[in-house]
Amino acid sequence: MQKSINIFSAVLLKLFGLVSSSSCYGEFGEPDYPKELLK
Amino acid sequence: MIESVSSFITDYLSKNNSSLNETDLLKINYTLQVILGSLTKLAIIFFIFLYLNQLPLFFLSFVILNSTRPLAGGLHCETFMSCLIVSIIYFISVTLFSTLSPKFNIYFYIIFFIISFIIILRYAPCPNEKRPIKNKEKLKVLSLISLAFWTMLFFKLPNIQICNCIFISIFFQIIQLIIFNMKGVVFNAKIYKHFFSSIT
Repeated sequence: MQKSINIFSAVLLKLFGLVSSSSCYGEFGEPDYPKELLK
Repeated sequence: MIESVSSFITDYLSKNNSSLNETDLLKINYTLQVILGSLTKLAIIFFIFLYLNQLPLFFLSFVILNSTRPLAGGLHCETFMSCLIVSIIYFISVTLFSTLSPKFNIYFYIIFFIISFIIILRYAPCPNEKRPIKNKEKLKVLSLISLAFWTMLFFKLPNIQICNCIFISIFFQIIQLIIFNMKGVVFNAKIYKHFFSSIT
């Protein structure tokens, strides 16, 4: 179970890298980018 | 609701994975909101097109949209609901045009794709102001490659519906780039808060 949680977290972090390097993903809206990550 | 589900999963991961720091949790929460929001919209649109019996054209327009928009960028809506409505109108417009429009003169298409290349070269990518991007040159090159791929497919394929679908999808993308650069950046508000607070 712990291993699955670690893998799931790692996959989400990888996906974040993918999403944040695109101009905008998918359709016509997306959630607000966390301001803390802009610093 | 999407924000709540994302926060719940993020909390669970934070309690069960001690290696995650605060920045990681923010990234995970954002990614979950993106995934859950997209899946919700996609599921609703999928069932609409399933009901309309137009799934193949929907899949094609979805593939074209997702191979151009993440690279070149585009306009955003301020709320989840308006985004959903615009997405539905977008896919229905593409499907209607693809099935109903005749094929135009070949020179019209040649001029259109040349103009598209110029606009992509000049204006892409146009990112969301609230999420600045660093790899602009790479995205511009990928946008041009994507456009080149769809242009080649357009001129190779004999099927009018597929060609119309490619043409109108690229047309909508180019129009967005033009509007974007005329009006400046249109960014999102708190889309999920707006939507879910108004329906709950």
